[in-house]
Amino acid sequence: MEFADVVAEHGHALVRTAYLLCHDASRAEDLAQEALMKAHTRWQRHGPPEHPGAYLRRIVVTEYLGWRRRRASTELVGVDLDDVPAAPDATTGVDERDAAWRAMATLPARQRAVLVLRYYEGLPDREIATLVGVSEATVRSLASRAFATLRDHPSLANSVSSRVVTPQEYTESGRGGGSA
Amino acid sequence: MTDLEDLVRATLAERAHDVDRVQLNAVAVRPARTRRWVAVGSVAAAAAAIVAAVVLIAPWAGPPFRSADLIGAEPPPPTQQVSFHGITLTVPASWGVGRFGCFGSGAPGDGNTVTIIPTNLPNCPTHPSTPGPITTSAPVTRTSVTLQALTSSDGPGTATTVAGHPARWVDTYGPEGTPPLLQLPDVGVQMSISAPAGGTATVLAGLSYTPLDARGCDAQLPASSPDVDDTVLAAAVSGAVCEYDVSGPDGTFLLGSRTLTAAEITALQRAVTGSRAAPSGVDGTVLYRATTADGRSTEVRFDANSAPADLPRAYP
Repeated sequence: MEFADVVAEHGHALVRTAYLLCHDASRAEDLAQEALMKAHTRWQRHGPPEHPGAYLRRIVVTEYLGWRRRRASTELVGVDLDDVPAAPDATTGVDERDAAWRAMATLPARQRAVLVLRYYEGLPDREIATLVGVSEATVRSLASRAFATLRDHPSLANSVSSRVVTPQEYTESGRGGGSA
Repeated sequence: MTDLEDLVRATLAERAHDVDRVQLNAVAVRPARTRRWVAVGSVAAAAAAIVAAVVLIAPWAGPPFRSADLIGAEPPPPTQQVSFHGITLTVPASWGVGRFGCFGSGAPGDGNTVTIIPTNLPNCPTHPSTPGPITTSAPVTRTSVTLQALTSSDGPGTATTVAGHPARWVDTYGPEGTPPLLQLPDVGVQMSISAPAGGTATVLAGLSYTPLDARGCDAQLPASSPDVDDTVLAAAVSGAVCEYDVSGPDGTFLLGSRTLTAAEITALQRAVTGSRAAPSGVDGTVLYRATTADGRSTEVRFDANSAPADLPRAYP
């Protein structure tokens, strides 16, 4: 398999995942590019990884979490998500999802990463724990705290169930074992 | 499965497609992205950066690229942008940047510096002392850039063009080693650049003019704002503050800007609805823009010396 084949197969999905993590299209492109650069370096030295897609995704998550840590001290000027107005849409439910998107933007990096990896990538908590660099219990805790924050977000408070999702509920729902 | 889980899943699935549309635009402007710092005078580094940019765009923008194209390419170091009067300078993130407020501010960085000095600082009892140009005759090993409000554009100079604007090099007649001033009269800026050989060209290569900054603030203070829309203000979910020079000699230029937090938007709403301290159309130089989720905006202005203390400012 050529590296170009990996890019063709996984490049687009990589940008999407990066975008859901960082909520910024330009930054998502950067994250994906950085992941490809690092993957290519590894490819040159050690040959192709067993699962290129998972390997690229891991780099993106790592880069994203590292970028969020560095961001405050290295960037003076940037487009904040809150500067970008949401596009109006008359479709039913769009307002609610738009509110959810903006509420997710307020989550800390690791909480947001857990939601993306679990609900978009459909990964089990075991893999999420490896990607984020925490234990499975911490993954469940991060998800629970993320939902608690979303539930209390002003834009979502009146539109969704106010019930808190507990770590136990995640375990009982089977998501900790990988089912979606 | 809860409603909130369903909502999160649906939201992520839907928003993942945002990047399909945005990506084409991002690719189109990619070569001009300012985060990529290419050092003039280092052909190898420039070539590496160009190869990195072109090759990594290729998978989505054109024919499939070959992995061999990446050999030797290293990602360029991160950069930062420093804006003043609409002039944006892109320099390595390791550089120290000082924005002189009442008592001065800035970070030491790696020894290379950019310093910004406005004409007249808001809310300062006296004008701060400002650093003079480097006047040593010893070999210059670090780059020092000063962006300053234009003081005078009289006298002889050598005409040039910088970032699409007419400019002139003016000899300052200082001690040996004093760099000439680069003046951009129509944006009210003068620059002093002290740099090793080739460094001045590098600085100028990273200079651009943006009539609107990243937060939508005009480089020059707009003539007036329409009436404050109370409905829009009450529903605002985002916003920014744009702060302008109090008494610039040739116009009222943007000193700086910053994004408002949710708490600061609430404070703005409270300040306007509570005290009416900022009547619409006031000739203030601190402009707050509040925006709703569906993109409607309204503006509130305050005088620099009478803005409510609990509202954020864009300039230290």
